[in-house]
Amino acid sequence: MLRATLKSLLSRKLRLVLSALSIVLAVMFVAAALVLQDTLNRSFDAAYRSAFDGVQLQVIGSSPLGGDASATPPVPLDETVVTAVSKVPGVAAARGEVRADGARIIGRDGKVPDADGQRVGVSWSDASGATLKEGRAPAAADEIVINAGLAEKTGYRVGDTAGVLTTRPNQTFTIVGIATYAGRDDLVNGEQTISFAPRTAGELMLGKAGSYSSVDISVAAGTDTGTLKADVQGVLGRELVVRTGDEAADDAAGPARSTSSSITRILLGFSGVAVLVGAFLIANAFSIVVTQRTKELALLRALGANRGQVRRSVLLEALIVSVLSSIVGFALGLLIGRAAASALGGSTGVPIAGFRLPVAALLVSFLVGIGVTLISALVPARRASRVAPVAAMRQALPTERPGKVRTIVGAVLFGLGVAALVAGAAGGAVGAIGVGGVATFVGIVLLTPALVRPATGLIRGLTRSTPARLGRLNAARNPQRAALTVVSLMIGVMLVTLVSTILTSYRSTVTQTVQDNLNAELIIYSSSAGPGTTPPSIDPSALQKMRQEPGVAAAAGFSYETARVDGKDQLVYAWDDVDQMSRIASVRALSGTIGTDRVMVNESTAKSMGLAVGDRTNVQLVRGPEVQLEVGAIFADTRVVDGFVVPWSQAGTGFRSPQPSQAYVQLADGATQADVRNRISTLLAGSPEVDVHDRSELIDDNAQALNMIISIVQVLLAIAMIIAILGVVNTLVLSILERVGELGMLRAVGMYRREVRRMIVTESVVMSVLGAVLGVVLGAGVGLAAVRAFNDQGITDVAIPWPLMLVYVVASAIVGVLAALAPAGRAAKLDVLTAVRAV
Amino acid sequence: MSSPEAAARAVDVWKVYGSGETEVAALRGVTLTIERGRFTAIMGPSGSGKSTLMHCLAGLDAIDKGEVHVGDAALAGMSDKQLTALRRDRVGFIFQQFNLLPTLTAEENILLPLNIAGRSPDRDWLDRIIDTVGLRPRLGHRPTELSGGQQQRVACARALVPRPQVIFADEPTGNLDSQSGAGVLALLQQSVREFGQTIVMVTHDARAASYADRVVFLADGRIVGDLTDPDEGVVLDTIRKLDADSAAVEAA
Ligand SMILES: Nc1ncnc2c1ncn2[C@@H]1O[C@H](COP(=O)(O)OP(=O)(O)OP(=O)(O)O)[C@@H](O)[C@H]1O
Ligand SMILES: [Mg+2]
Repeated sequence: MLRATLKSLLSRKLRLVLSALSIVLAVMFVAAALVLQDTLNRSFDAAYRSAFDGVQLQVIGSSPLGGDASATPPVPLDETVVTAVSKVPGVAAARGEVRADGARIIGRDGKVPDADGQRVGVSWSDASGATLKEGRAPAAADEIVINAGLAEKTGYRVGDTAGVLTTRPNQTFTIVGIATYAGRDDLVNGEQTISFAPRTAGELMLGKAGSYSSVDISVAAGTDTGTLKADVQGVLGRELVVRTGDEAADDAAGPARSTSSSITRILLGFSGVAVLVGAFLIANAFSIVVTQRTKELALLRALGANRGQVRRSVLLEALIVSVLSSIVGFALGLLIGRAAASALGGSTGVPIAGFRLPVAALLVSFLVGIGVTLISALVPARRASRVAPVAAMRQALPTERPGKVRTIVGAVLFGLGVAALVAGAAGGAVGAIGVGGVATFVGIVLLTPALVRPATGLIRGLTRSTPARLGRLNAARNPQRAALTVVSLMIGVMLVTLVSTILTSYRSTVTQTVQDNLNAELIIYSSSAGPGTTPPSIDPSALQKMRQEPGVAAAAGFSYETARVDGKDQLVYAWDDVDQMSRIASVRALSGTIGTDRVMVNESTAKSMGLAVGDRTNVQLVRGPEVQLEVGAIFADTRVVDGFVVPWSQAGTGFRSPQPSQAYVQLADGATQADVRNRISTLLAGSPEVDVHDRSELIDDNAQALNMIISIVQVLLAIAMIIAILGVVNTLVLSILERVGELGMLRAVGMYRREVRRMIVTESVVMSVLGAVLGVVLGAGVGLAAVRAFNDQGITDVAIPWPLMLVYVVASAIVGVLAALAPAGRAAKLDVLTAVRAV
Repeated sequence: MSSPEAAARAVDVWKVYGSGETEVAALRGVTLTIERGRFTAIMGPSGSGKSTLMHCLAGLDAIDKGEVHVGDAALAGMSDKQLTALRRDRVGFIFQQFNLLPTLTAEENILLPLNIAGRSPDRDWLDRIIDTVGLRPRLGHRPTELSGGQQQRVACARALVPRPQVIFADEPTGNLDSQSGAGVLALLQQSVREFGQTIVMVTHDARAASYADRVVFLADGRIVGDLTDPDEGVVLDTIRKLDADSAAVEAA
């Protein structure tokens, strides 16, 4: 059987290449994503490990919200920890150190320079590996040392003064020195490091003078680090964490890693779609193989091969194709992953780790490539084994009919899916939407063969010319095969329509809210938040002065932060001026009183959290101990502010930055907007991260961020389309080969070449437009259900992206035309006589 | 040059396939006039060039030397487009494999050439043809629901409905049992007698040839015999005689 399989493989080169290509692409994406992640992670790890070379053991406070130590600000430790640690036998020295994200220097241009890494404030210490390139160490509270990379970026020299934002608003410092780290300009490439005098560092970066973010331990000679780690942990108890230098480095690399992993996630999402589309394509290719080989298979059966052998021969073919394609796909993915890593690494300045064969990526790639191919080939293989020996004697292949069971199962799944979507939309259950979406999709996939014929019947009126009519009929000739092609096109369109529907609804909600509900003409925010973990800040004194400005009726700043409320992680908000915010957002108490000392919750949040006035909640913010806060007011839902609002004093102690990160400004009657805007801009000179914007700018900035997501998803669509094109080409080429005799007859009785081309193109366009229409309808349907379910999460507007949907359908039609070009040309060029004789 | 009597003409036609070692001269100077309104059969042993001659006459294949005319049109130097237009407007085909489109009903298959040409059918004529081929109850059926004989009658109707100057049929009964074959042959004969249709038919079967008004014999790419109004016996005698001749040639 092996020889028969190999021979049949080689005799169908084209199909082999086409089905292999889809596997290659899918595997390529998987491999590229994994290789990129592996390479970047190793690069970041290496960079941070060399930065933490000097650290042997380190004590830090365990982050109150748990999870990733890098995502939350460090817990301040005091001198007692240092004392306790130094007493542990085996500790040569214990040193309190400060290192925290959020020290932002203001450049000569009055702006905070771009950062490729974190902006870190540290306590000066020779022990941390810093060497002075110029100047001296910071001694006074208003002295700093900056790293050489930052000095070059900003143009600051020793002796200059510069403003620095920390947990405190802008303060002016004198630069007394410039540091390098083991010869490097940055501690870690791209990082901006500002060193303060030891006592000042705690106050500025951790909010508490004399506090440390870590206690670094030098291990005494002859003491085992691992043993000491356990000993120190034993002395300190569970509140504190002891980690090795490598562990500290890995934690510090966290933010960089998380950027790389979000890129990887996007790429993996792409590969997921590629794999899904590819699976349909492979199923299509192999079912065609089986159809075409029916006679050959029947002959094999007639000659005594049993069903198992026939099935295995098809699966063997799939295995060979998938192994070869996986090899090629993995090799390409390796190249692309490395190239992408170099490009990304180049932009952050991190040296890219050397080449290593990532075993995990290799395994996953091959598992995906071979697994998906074999699974997709299973159904065709089963069908092949069912070919009866007598089929060898039969003339024509019976045209396939869509299976009844399949159609019924599809209809039931589709019905259940729609029911789940409707229920989910009504009840705000996002889980039900997910289940419903998948069920609807699978239902449609199963239903498509039965849909193809009626669907093509619908466009009868559009295909009046004979070639167009024949093309339309040909599209529906083999519903099973057409369905696989249609579905492979549908997937991409469906996903992008789904995302577009949700985002368009969100955008429309934002626009409406800003235009109709926000009683503030000016909004202060940062339109380019840096990659660090510290939010931008607005100097409270500037806000205070603003309120005194003539022309300003009200100004309210706010911040939000992730916190754990009664054991559940969620966003909490804080307003710096409750009265003014209430005026701007029309906050109205339903029960209790609006005030500054207790928690306020909007009605629907209160309902979902089961809160009433007088209830006590346990709130763990990112800093400080857990606090118990009483609910003081439930206010009517507004479209501007909602959620769980803690008193401003809590933000001061528990948020990463005690200052507001955004603010609304309401103009007094008769004030000129441009005039007030200018004056506010001047007041914000000490808050260089934020700018004053008007409503339309806010809307635009929001739209831009969303458009970016839509663009990413559209790239995904494009990838899905490229793979789907392969499917269309495959189907067309094979249909043409099957119909050579017919084409010859048509040409003999007087069909022009261009009419033949038109016939093939119509067949292709009918399939691709059907796929697009199904995708658009399904995507918009699930999207709408999701939007309804998100009503509580603040998407209150329902907007269907009609223009985009139209674009997707037209794009699919164009894809249909492009895919048909080569096959149509081939069909038109067929020599009439050869074609007639082929019968 | 062109005589009004001729539906198609071949003058000293040569057709050579391949080159060098594999060179095969399928036609060696064939001169033949197909008269209008007559049923001409072409016979000859396998490989004698019957199909080739027919393809050349129909403008499906290019010739190497000589002239071919369909009606008053000389095929020499015509582009693919012109040849297609010529076939569309003047020529009909009946193939051995019935070659119907499975996606169309019998009626739609019959109307296909007219649809392709963008012409609307003459209703009376269409009705007459449909009644002649006896397919009225089957018009809405698809080819897979028809027997071989019925399918070939659909193909005949398809060729007859546009009233081409000449219909070429290559072994139209080759795939049929003798009874269905007789039906199709009677139909072709009737369309010549009653409607004045011109038909050229290639066949191996002496019985089939006896339906024709004239039988032309080919051997080795040359015309070696020409009978008018033959009956089956005469055709068989001629075949036997020609076989004996060629055996004699080979023996010599
Ligand atoms: N495309 C081709 N290439 C090469 N040789 C060809 C080709 N077509 C036909 N021939 C040769 O030309 C000769 C005549 O072939 P043709 O098909 O006309 O014979 P025929 O009389 O129709 O035979 P049959 O009764 O078997 O159909 C044969 O020797 C054949 O091998
Ligand atoms: Mg022949």
